[in-house]
Amino acid sequence: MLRKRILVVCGTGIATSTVVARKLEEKLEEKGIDIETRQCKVAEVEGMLEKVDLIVATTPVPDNIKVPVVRTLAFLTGIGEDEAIEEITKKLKKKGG
Amino acid sequence: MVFKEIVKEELIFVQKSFKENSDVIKFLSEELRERSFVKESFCDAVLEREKKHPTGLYLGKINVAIPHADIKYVNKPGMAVATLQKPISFRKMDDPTLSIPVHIVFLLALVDPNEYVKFLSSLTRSFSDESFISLIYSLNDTERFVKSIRKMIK
Repeated sequence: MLRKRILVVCGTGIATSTVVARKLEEKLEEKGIDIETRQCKVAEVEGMLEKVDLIVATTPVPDNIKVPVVRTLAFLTGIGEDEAIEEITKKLKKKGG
Repeated sequence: MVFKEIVKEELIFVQKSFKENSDVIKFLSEELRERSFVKESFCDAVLEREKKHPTGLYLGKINVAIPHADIKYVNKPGMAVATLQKPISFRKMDDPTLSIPVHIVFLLALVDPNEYVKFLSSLTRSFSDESFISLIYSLNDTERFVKSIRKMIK
């Protein structure tokens, strides 16, 4: 798979998204998936979508967004992390590459 | 050492009673402000953020909330914690249409999150350990509270 770009979204774009982004990088690297993360707050999502393969959000994002979204707290709390990784991997593969 | 810098016994409050989540946030913000961790405007910023993007984390038996605000309201990194005698309603981070009873509030004052990501990550991941979270909720001794958190955080 080519390098994938994941946009990590949370309320302020700082605390939770940083925790989630670092954890995602660690977990997907273990799976051999090359990713690049960017972070933003939910209010900025629409302007950040260029070349983004997937959004991972801790909070709801607007419905009209064309990029696949995985909404989960798993990378924050650790609860349901394996399932979340599986869902993300599946969605990234579906996007082709 | 990040842990010592952020976790201060004097900023841990156990078995407190409040009416609403805004009362807990105001109380903890004031404690942070008195010690110059945050600016005067921090409290309003946290309340505003909580309205738009709530921070309740549903864990099961004991639930927590991690209110915070933009780094521009913070002078130096810190954390004020309150355990609540009676749980108080917070809305869920991942689904703000739902409210959950919250037992422990961790009010975070953050500067550069990249520097504190390990601490933050270990803190939030400790929440999934039910026996740990039940233990700290049951404590009425701040010294043991700090020791218990310290054991969990790398």
